[in-house]
Amino acid sequence: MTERLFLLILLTGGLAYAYFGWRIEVPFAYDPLGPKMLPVFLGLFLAGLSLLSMMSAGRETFAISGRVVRLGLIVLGYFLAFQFLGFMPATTLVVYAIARLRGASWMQGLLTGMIVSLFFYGVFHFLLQVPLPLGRIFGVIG
Amino acid sequence: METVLAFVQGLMVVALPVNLLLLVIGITVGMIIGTIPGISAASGIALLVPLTHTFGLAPESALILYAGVYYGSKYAGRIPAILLDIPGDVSSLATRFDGYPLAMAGQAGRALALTAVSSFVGGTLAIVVLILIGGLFAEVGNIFGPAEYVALIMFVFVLVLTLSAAPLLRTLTSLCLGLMMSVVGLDWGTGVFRYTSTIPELYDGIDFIIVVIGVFTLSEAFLLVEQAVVDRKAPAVMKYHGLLAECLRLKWSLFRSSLIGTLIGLLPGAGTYVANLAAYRFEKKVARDRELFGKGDPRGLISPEAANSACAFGAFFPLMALGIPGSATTAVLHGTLLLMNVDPGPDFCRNHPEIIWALIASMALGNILLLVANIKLAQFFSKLLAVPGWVVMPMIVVVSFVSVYTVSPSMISLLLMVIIGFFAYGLRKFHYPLAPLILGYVLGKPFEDNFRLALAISGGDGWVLLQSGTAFTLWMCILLGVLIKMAVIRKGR
Repeated sequence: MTERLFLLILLTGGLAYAYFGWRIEVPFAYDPLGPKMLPVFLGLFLAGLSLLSMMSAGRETFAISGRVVRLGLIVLGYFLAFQFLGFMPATTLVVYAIARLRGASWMQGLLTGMIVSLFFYGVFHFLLQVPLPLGRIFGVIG
Repeated sequence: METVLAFVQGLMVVALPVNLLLLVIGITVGMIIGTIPGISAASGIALLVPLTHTFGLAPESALILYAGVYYGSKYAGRIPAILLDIPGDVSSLATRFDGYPLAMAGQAGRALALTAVSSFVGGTLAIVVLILIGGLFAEVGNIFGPAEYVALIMFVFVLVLTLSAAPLLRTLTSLCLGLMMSVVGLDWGTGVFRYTSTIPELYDGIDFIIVVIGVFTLSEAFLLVEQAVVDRKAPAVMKYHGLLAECLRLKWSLFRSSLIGTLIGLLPGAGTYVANLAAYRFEKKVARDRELFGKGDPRGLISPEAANSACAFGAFFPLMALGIPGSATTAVLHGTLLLMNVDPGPDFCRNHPEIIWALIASMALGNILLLVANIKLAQFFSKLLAVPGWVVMPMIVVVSFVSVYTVSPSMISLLLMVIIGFFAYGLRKFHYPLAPLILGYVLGKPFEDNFRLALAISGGDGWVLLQSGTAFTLWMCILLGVLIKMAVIRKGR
């Protein structure tokens, strides 16, 4: 990824932020500044900073490594599976996948996954009484 | 006499079994967080929130616990810095310059013992200063109205920009992004929702935990996974016997650095990493034989650690008296305390002086406990470095999800955290500093609220921002800071 692309995203984001800030409808305001001014200023300021950075620097670049992509996919998968599969199965799978990514054997990964998911579920469900998702899939089947 | 009585009363609050237990838990957890590389003090504090959120702790108990985690982690950041040349936190950056060469020369025990004592001395000086100015906690807020707060927050922003090692444009961009995130949610003055679309999770703004965990924890996981899997072996830690004699020999270095750290800590806007580096550079400058620095000189080891510890304790003054955090970690601490129904600032100090004294007393006690733990249990904490990455990393991801889900149980909150985490990873890769972002996020709302309130009171007259002596002095300091930064940039060219 190049910094110029990153700055372009920031520039677009800044302009969009300023545009939506400008479109805030204010029925009444008790203060002379109102709720629109700061967002519009910040959006334009970010766009200005991104433009300046593009012109003065913005030549850095980095390659997104395979491991980062895999971790990104695992995190996204965890997000999708968190409520669908439920906390315990999703956590076991995710811990296994990340542990393998960091060089653990399949047995170490699986054991860590099971221990971590059971431990957290036990602490939160029974000790702290915070309900963690049990899984929609099981609700459907059941 | 009044001060002594107040301090004793504070000690009595700390002596309650529940508070003593929380103090011990806080510093132990802080030590573990600080020792394990990859978990910064800021993420560690945020990750603890779900555990305490559900207990409904009393304000003084929450304060004692989180303060313990904060200064415990700052204390322990030196362990990976000395043994592995990896600072546990940015506040131990300079510690590794002389700490690691000493460890490599087979003197890891000496390095750890010396830094334990220097952290204790730095912390003690800062606590003594806090006791002496304890009465000011409630007083100092009285001179701050909306205009003064605007000037103070601007001063913090300028100080962050001036002291940041990153290029100005990047620091400014980071600050701007933090301010932009703080705007999201209900506007107090008009009842208008800003950037919330129809998402109820955003009506109160982007939750603090979502931002902190996304910015610090999840992005850290992406950086960690890039590193090659290596078997880190810490050098053996042997007992050191000449500790007292060596500390006495280095007493003036210890005193100077502790003073520097305390003064920097009292200043809003300058964090422990500034103190750590400033003390190292100062000590190197005043030394006659400065060529020894960087080769395992004990002065280069004790000075940054004494300053770091002194700054960590001193930082509680601007945080509690003014509600102004001075660094990323204290910004996270500030947000966490808000979640625990502790609202740092003048009102809190005025209404609950006993809690402020309990905090100071807990820090005095915690500082002693940390010294004992770091001398007696140095070998145990060094063993934590051997915890493999395949255990630490999955735990970071799981605890991130659980923390956010506990505080804000919705898929939108989890999605927001993941998006912020990806974005913060990009920022880190392009070397954008994250401290200005989190400070902008935490201070953005009070800045806008006070700015608009000051203008509303004056009927739109902008001069109100400069009229009082305090505000005028702060604006002059801001101008000075800007001029210094411009001079530094020009010199760099």
